[in-house]
Amino acid sequence: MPARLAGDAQALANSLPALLMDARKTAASLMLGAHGRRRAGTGEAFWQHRELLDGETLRQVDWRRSARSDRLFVREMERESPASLQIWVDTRPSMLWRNQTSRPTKAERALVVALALAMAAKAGGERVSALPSGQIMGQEETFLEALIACGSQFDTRSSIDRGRQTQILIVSDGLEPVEVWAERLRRLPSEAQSVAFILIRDPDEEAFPFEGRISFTAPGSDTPVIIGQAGAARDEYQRTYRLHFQALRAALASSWGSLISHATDQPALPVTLQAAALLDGRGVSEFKEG
Amino acid sequence: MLTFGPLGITTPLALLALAALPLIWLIIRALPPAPREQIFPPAALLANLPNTEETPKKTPPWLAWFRMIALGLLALGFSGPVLNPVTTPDARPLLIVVDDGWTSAPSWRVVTDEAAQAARAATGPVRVLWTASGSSQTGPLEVLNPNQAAARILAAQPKPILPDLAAATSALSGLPKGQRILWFSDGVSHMGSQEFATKLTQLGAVRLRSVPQGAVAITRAAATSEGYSLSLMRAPATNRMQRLEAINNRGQRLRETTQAVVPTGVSFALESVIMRDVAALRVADARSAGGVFLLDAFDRRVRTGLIAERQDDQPLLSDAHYLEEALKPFTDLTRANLTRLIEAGLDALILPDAGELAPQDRDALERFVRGGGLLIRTAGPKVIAAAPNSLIPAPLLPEPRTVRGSMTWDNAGKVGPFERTSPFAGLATPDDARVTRVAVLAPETGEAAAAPARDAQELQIWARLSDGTPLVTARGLGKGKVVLFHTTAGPAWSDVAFSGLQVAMLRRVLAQAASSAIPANFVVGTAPLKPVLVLDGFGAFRAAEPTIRPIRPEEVQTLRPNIDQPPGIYEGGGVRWILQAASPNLRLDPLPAFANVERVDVAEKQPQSLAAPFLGVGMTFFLVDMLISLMLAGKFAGVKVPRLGQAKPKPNATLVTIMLIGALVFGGGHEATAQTARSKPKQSDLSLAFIKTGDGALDAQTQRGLEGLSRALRDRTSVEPGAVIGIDPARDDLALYPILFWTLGEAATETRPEVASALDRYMKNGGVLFVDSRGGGRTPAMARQITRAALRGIEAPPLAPVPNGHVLTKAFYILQRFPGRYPDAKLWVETDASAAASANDGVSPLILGDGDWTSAWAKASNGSTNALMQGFDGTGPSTNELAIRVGINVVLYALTGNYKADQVHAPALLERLGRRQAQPR
Repeated sequence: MPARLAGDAQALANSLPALLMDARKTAASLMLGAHGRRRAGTGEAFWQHRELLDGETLRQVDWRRSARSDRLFVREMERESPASLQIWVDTRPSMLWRNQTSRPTKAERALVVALALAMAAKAGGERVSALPSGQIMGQEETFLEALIACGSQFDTRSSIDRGRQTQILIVSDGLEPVEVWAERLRRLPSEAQSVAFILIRDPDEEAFPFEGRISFTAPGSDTPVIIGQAGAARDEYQRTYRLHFQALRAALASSWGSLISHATDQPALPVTLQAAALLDGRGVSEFKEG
Repeated sequence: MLTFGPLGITTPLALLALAALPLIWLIIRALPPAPREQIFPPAALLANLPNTEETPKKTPPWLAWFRMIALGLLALGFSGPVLNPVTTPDARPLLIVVDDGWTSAPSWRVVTDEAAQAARAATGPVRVLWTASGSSQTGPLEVLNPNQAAARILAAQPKPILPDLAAATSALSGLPKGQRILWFSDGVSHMGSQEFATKLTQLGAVRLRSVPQGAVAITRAAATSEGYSLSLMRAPATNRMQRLEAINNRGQRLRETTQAVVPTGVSFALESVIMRDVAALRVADARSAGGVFLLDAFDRRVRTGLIAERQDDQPLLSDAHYLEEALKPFTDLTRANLTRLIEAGLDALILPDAGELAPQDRDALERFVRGGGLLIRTAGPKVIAAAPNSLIPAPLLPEPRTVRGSMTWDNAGKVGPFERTSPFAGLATPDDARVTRVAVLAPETGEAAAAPARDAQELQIWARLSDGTPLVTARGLGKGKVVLFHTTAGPAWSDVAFSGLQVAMLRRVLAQAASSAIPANFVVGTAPLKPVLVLDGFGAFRAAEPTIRPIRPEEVQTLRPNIDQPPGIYEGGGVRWILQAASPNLRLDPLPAFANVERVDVAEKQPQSLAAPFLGVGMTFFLVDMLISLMLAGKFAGVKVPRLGQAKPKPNATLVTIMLIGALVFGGGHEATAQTARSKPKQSDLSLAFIKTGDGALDAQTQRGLEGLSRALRDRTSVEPGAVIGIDPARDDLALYPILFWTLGEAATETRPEVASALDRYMKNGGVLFVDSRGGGRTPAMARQITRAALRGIEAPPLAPVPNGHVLTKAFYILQRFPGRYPDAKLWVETDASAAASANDGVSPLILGDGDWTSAWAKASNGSTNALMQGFDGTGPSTNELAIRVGINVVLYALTGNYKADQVHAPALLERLGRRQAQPR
């Protein structure tokens, strides 16, 4: 329940209805639908008719089909085996930042994208759960709250769905040191089929539109960094920034992960489509600039 | 003292602070402005930047300069800079001569400021000589120190008289030579100016400063048909253009001219409607006593009555109508019957054509006239038909004389010119007004002559027709006068009514009634004339002070205003004299050039301290600097995005210190005022009040009872009533009390009508009246009788016993009964239907009961203090305790109205709450 959430996460949860609305819109655009397993099974979609084999009960006979010939037919449905999608959305303080009020915070955008994907996946019959608590997605609101609650720390050891084909979706700004990320990815169990990393960034984090003498403080941190001439330090900063993400992408690649980058001044739909295709195994993303 | 040209420094040591400026410069430059705070998630990346350029951590030069200037200003301010410093102190004793007559009044502020400055700048002894007010002084001039002298000069006011330089000259005698003399003159040559100047030059060097703005005097004013024509006299150095004002006797401006040119005589046009209220004419711009001309006889409006019974059926043929229309604009005219008018105590009565009066009416009228009233009658068929009597100036022939027929073309019937002694003197006689018929005086036979009363005075003929026939006659009777117009007021006998003449004549006649006092140049009075109203130096009206000497009647004509007899209006012995500030032949000539007198045209430059402006600008600079610092630190950077994990900004200690210093420097004087406001005790704004019955014992008991109830209210509720008040509804203001207690006496007494109406009003305006008939001890019939008698004249609403669930049962305590001294007491309130219909918010304006609660309350207050505890020993609360509870409910009902009626929903609410809590979360 929302009351469990602490501080800033609570503020985030307060905008939950708006996030839900955005996520639904985006999810509706995805229209992924159920992706069949293309073999007979216990699904709902028709797969094939076959002759009744010995030992099968007459109850299985599709009489409508059988009446058209002399043999008895059985109607087989396509088998749908739900895969598992596990989502971690970063809601640490650094995600709750934006430099202009006209843009959503990174966390808001991250939640919208993640929830849209979750809804699409659930509609496709997949089992969706939040990391690290492992709460299964039921009601959308509840799941969103679970995502927010889980977002403050990343811990994959306990609750990875073992024994299933598991896809892991990480939505974060990736600003923690690359070593931290590498360690996290290394610890992901081998069952994880793939890791999709959606990198959410505020455009100003890259553009660095500051001038003059400024004391920079990261949210949640107490140690300011004083830059004497912010304007002069811009190029150097941007180089460091790019290097950081290149390192992150390299770390991901070694864990069969792929990275999609998204800036909060862009609409949420393209990145969601891209991520959906990636999760579906249909596309491979590139770390794109801008 | 250091001097640089016109600038002097009193404490040069403070300038040493300027030497510290370079050091401060270095410090300021070394302290960089605080960096701007910015929340930035990738701050950790920034920490790894290899070689970031640092801006020089220094204050920008322009800011440093700004601060240096501010510091420099403060240092200069503390060093005590003085403009025009006195470099060579003049040790000679200073004599300041000030012309404090009204001629200096327009520039009085300038004069006294300059004189006070000069006095303050003096180093030696100072003497001050006032040429107008000092004339009455005897003995040598007082020697003052500079500050004393300055204070006296600033406190002085100009006098409403002219300077008396002869007296001033004599006051100079005995002064030692070698004085430094400053003469603040009005610039007007007075009698003895030459001698005075000569005497001054003998005493020392004289510098003469004339007023920059002189006075304008109104020397004469004559009433004309359009207003007044004035003669003005202008002092030198006075604007030629002056506005004039007409003011009433309270000094309020009625009319104002546009600019008038002095000294040509001007005419001041005034509507006649205004003229009757004008008490004085005044020069508006250069205010002085001489610029005020007091007018006579218009100090109050004549209150006139028109004796006419009914409204007229045919107004255009009615005399009364013409009189009424003619006089309405000029007098306070009342139209009523004779008795009513005589009771009203008017100044004048007008009786249009009336014959024989009823004896009592005639007596009343005669008493009115003899008592000083003015009776104006107009002739007509009825007047001449009546027998001669004292209310007609002279006997009349029973037939009117026909002056004009329809075939007459000559001037017959024209109103002749007025004699100089006539009150109508000066009125123009219109050519077109003709009299057709006129009542004629009976020949003076012995019989007729005997008819007027014995004390009647001689017959006066105020107006005649051109052929000599009397048109207006008058005769004094007792203290009053009877005036007869020998034609009709309407058009029947004359068409004078259509011309303006009749109105003008009536006004002149009425003016006779306006002022009981006769101008003193007409009559020599017998008693001293005491001041009624006097002028001050600026020409403002002042009430007469007891120090003013009355004017003796014989000196009236020759008297000039002097310090003991200021200009103003004096009255006494039926005579009035107006002492004008400016005599008709006043001249205001410029002061001639005197030998050895140095004239100063501009004010002498006096030392002026510049510390305040320097300090002020310096401090302002610091305030601005504070804003700049805040701005550089990014405190005004606009709305910030969510401030996550940001450390609370620490209050800037330097800023706080500077603000505190600023507050001390600029706001130091305000401490005293803050405390006085607090010391006033909070007054209780609610008191229980009861209606005094006049029965002392009963009132005392009610008082005690209400005191007990007040105490209980204070103890148990948030109502904190003040002292109990006994009131008389007929006299006291009931609006202050939300509830009134009325304990009825033993006997049935009728309520006085004024009390009844006051209580009625009180109840209609939202008050609650609690009536206790104390019925328990009596027979019901008796109690009913007492109540009915008490409530007679009070519009009581329909009453019913307090129904179940009424607010009275739960306003504070939940009560089922209302016991007073008797446990079975009953309480009646307005019926629900009536209360719902009333505008009183459903609160019953009348609560009627018979429990004798006050005595129960009185006992409860005397008794044990643990009244509340009594319920716990199993006996239940005592009757007295229950009575107190009833009282508390009644008071709270009166105070809160139907607020508690909402409690009908309480059970439902409680039930709902219970269900909610039972639910598992």
